[in-house]
Amino acid sequence: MKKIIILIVEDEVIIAQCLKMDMELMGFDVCDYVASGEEAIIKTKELNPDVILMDINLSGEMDGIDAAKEIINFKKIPIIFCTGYGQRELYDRAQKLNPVAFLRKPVILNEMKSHIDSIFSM
Amino acid sequence: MKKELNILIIEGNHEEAVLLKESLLVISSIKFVKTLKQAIKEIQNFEFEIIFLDLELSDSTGMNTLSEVLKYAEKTTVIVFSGLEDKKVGLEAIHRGAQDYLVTGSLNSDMLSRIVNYSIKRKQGERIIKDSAMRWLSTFNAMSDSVSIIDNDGFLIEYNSATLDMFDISEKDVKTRHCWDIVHNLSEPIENCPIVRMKNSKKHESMVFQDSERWLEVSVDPICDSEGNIKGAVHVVSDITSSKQAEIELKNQFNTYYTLLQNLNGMVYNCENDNKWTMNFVSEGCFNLTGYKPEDLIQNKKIAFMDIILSEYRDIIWGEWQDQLKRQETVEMTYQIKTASGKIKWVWERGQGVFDEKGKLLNLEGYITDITERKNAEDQIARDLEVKDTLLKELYHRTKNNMQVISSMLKMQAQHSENEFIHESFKEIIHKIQAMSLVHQKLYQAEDLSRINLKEYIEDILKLLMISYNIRSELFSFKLDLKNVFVTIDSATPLGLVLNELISNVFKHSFPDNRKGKLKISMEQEESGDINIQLTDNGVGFSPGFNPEKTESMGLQTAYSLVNYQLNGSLSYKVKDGLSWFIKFNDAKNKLRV
Repeated sequence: MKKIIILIVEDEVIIAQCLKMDMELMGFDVCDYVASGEEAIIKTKELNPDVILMDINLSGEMDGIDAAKEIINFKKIPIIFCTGYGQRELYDRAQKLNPVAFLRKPVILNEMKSHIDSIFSM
Repeated sequence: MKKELNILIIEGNHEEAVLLKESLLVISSIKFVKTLKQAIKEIQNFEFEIIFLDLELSDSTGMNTLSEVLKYAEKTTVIVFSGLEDKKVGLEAIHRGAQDYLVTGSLNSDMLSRIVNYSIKRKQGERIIKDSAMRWLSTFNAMSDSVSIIDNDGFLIEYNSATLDMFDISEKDVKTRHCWDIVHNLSEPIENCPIVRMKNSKKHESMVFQDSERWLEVSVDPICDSEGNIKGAVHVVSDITSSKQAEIELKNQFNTYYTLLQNLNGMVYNCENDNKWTMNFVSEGCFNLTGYKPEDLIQNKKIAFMDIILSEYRDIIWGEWQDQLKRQETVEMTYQIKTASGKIKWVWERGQGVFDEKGKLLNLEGYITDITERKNAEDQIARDLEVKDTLLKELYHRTKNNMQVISSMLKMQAQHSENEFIHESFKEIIHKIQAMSLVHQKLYQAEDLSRINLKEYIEDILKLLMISYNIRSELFSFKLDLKNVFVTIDSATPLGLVLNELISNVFKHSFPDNRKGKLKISMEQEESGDINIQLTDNGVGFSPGFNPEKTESMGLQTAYSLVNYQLNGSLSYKVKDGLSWFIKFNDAKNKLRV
């Protein structure tokens, strides 16, 4: 069975690497991790992932929600937002993009896994 | 004619008396005497209406008889007998106070009756005039003002007793000195003398002047003859010292307030409740505040106050005023104006309506002052606070991120080791870092950025540990009874580490062999501020002989140290049907750091 390919968008590289490790331990394939929204757009086009794990606070001009908005304009791809803060304003903005989930950090890996699995179990 | 006239006839010649009696008997009761002595006795005992008097008596003659009788019968009508050849005597007697005289031998009843009647009336008239004069004289003398009649040369013809007292002058001197001498102590009329002016104007004139320590008011009214020629004047001098002093005091007081008003930093106003805020009065502070002079604003001469107010505030101010006027309450507002030079200023206004006794609005009064500097300072403080909040949030965010980075590094490091002990040690450290990191996350989200809600914090720690220890809900039941308790970072961080240790121990040791378990956590805060947290499980408790206070377990040692030293609280336990931990501490000693 083909592994689900994940793109991680996270500006803290260590956290990104750790998340990559966790995802891989859970049986997913992480195609890359990037620190900015701009890079996320490029890598999505280039690597064609199945899911994007998107942090909201990113380096660069765009935040995760802006980047996700641009991405879904050219590719219908499931997006899981991860953020340290459950601010209402961010949540409301993110919900307009109809994401798979809006998770708070530290991310509970099992929860993350069940969200990803649910996308592809249908 | 009324019959009850009491008449005394004093008549030496008895024949005359008989004649008189015959003539008067119809109309009166009559008493006869022949001597002055008898007459006086009768007069003293009885009040007669008429006395017929013969001047020539055995014990008195001529005008002396009349004088003596009048002495005792001042109010009685006295008619003197006189012979034909004594007409002069009769006239003399009238001059001296008799009402009439009768020529003896020519008397008849009708004539007598007429004379008596006429004499009585004349006497009554005289008495009325005399009584009236007496009353007026009493009034005249009772007045505290000096009232006098002066002639055209300025001499006092008549004066009341207050005149003598007011000018400390004797009866002897008062008629020999001019009024200007008496009143002003001058040898000629004072400048602006009301008497001099009255002579020209022929009407009431007055003046007020100061006489050493007294304030006097002189009023002069002309006395004219039938042809309108001035014959003299009524001259009234009133001592108005007390009212003048009150007036001066009032004026001084007014001057003080006025000076204060004019030196106020802001603008005091009185205006109409109209759509221009038409000013009736504005204080000098107007110029500093608006750049316009008071006279420019009064009656909207150059500009209306409404036009100075920035347009976006005009309707709001109008609405606020009308609302408060309905309630008759004070208006307080902050808004912006544009000064004459075009400068925009922040002003603060406080005002109220002025109402009459029936509650009808007369006008508005209040005070407006420049608060631009204060407002700018406030805005600056607000901006500074915003910057502080942003920086602080950034700091919490960075700290939390850094802890997560450390946590991630440890996790990756542990992944490379196959040693179970290292795995477990790293896991414990990661839990501790997560507990600390959670404090910063909570602080970032806290409204005042300084205190976190322990209830939410404990729930989150529990959730993280359950995931980490893979606690399955079918094996474990939880009961949380946590009240909302807010603590500072100083308490939250050590407490988080302690709870992390105690809850981890429950998950690791209390329920071996996958047995089912219960964990109850409760928290409350006493009125004293003491916070009590209790963790109770129904697990295996401690093995016999185990003393957690003396254990070499680093986790428990650290927990004791954190509670005792850092929280200044107490940590105790009880083993009964499981294990209970009791944490007690007080956060009040910790100052808010932000």
